Amino acid sequence: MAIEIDGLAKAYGRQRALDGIDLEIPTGATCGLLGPQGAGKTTLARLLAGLEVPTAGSARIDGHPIGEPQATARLGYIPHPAGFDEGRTPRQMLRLAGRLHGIPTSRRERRLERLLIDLGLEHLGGHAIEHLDGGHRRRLALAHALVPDPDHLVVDEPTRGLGPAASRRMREALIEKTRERTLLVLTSIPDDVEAPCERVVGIEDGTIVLDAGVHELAADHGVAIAIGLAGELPQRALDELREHEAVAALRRDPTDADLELWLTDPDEAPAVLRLLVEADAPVASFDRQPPPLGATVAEHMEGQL
Amino acid sequence: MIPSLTQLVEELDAGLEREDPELVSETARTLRETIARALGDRRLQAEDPILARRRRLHQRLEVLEAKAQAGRFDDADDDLDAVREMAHETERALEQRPAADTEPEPDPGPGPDASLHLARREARATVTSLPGAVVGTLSLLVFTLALQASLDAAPRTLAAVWANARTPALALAPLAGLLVGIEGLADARAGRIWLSATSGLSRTRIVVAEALGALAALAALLLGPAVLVILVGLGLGLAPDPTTTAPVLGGLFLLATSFTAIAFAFAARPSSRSVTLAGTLASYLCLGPVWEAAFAAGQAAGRGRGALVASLLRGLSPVRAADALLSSVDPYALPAGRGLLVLAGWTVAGLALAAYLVQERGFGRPHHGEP
Repeated sequence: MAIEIDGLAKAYGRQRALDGIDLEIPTGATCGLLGPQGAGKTTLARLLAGLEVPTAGSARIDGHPIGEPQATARLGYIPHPAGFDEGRTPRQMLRLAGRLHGIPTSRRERRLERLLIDLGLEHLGGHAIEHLDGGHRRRLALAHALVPDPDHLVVDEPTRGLGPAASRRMREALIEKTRERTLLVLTSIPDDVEAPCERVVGIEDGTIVLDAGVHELAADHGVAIAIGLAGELPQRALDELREHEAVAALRRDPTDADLELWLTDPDEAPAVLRLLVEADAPVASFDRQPPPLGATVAEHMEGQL
Repeated sequence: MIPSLTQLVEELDAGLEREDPELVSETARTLRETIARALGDRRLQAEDPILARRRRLHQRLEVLEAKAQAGRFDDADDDLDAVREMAHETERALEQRPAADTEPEPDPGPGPDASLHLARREARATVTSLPGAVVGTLSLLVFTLALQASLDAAPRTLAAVWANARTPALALAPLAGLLVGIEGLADARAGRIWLSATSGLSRTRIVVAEALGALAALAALLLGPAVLVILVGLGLGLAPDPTTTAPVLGGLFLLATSFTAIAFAFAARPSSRSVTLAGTLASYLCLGPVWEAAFAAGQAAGRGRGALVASLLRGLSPVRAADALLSSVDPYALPAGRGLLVLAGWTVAGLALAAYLVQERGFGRPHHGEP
């Protein structure tokens, strides 16, 4: 098990930030911890990174108690907000990280140059960090976390405060760079979980209120299907679709011959495709699109997101 | 051996030719698995065109399968052509992507020099900070004025410079120590501590490294101007006086370090910069003038054991201990060796307390972070 959390609690004076949570994340799994601001996400991230000490309970990373050097060395951590040595350059910052981790010089230089290139920061490697915009700073924090090539990554609010383009770029970078790593994303933005994670855990007031697979959760709420047609849709196909019990809604695009369906049961999708084909519909594509995660999670979490 | 995508498409074609829906489904499944395996070995962006191509290929395969299941084998030719073309493109794209490389050996982890790298960074940050600039400027001012006053006095020796600098330097050194000390662990307050805390160093080791950096910065800011004044004084013809110079510089530095350590202990508590500053300034007043006044009065008023206790406690003040190192003219002054011990004791106690607090309670929350 990569991350084992057992009854972890943290209080600041009388204010309880985490109220005894239990969570297990297997090695290589991708998990999104989704909750509103103040739910305890940042506290959990800081506890896992060894920056703070729990009031009660325990957590282990690869079997090592959090806070011990063996645990933190295995974990890449991206905080929010992430403070930097503003006067330094990204290259200097990553170089120092490599030195602190004891990475031999040649490997360190090779790795940091590769990280700068992979994360689209190579042209900024020599600029002072204070001149970097929000998106670049988030990707620089990701690069810093990846310098020691950690097995597990904890990312706090990867895209909060970023514009749509920078958010998309950050999510792409996360997906790309967390391949074959354990990933725990802590966020209040459902899209941050939907893109890279296979499991979603909901947290409210320091307590876990939801734990489900992203796709299972979406599947419970039906599926949208975009059907590309190479010609006219026969009336018989249209009639049979309208009569099918799983078809909740049907919309024809007025500009072309394509069709959009909303199915209440995703398992009925193959049957619907078969129905169309058997009715001589000229189907050219059949694209399933799950409903937005935010909508499905919000339903479970009383719309707090 | 993994079959090529082109081979699999030919098998699909054969399945359609033989009007065998089972063979079509079986081959389509193998085709999907083969692509998934090949993509799993490649470094790909989420929006990589190869992933979009795979998605289109899957959609078309699904339609082709459905037509085969419905017995519309003749209608599936267009789908097969599309699948063939996309499989060919995917195969070509995969050939152009290098397989993900792996590094054979794991990193060795933080070595003994990691603390030194951290200390160097801390020292540089402190020297270039505002408190660092204040300390350096005040130090230069005090020693320069002392030199200026000594140039016209007799005898023309460096001892005269230290005699002139003694009183302001005794006030400056604790303040310098406090100002440098509150910069210590500033990373935690500013939300930068993650940069070092995630390096696999223990919290205690981070505190010790930051303390080393702070002390190095203190040496540069406090003693740097003093050394400069020595060089200028010697250049202007003042006689060297190593027996006075060494204890003076050593005593001032130790006095400053004891207050740096005290400030570290305050900074280790999760509180704002202003709370840390207020706490350390209060400690300066309590350990200096207040302590001195309280125990000097007790010493004068007491008799026998009471006077002895008051005298001993009076000697535990870091300011008085430093005074003992700088001069032994005071009849109540401690011997220089004991003064050294007192200052070292404050330094070690302050840093140990800081390390203990951080180890037991963590670094605390940054003061610009979310609640």
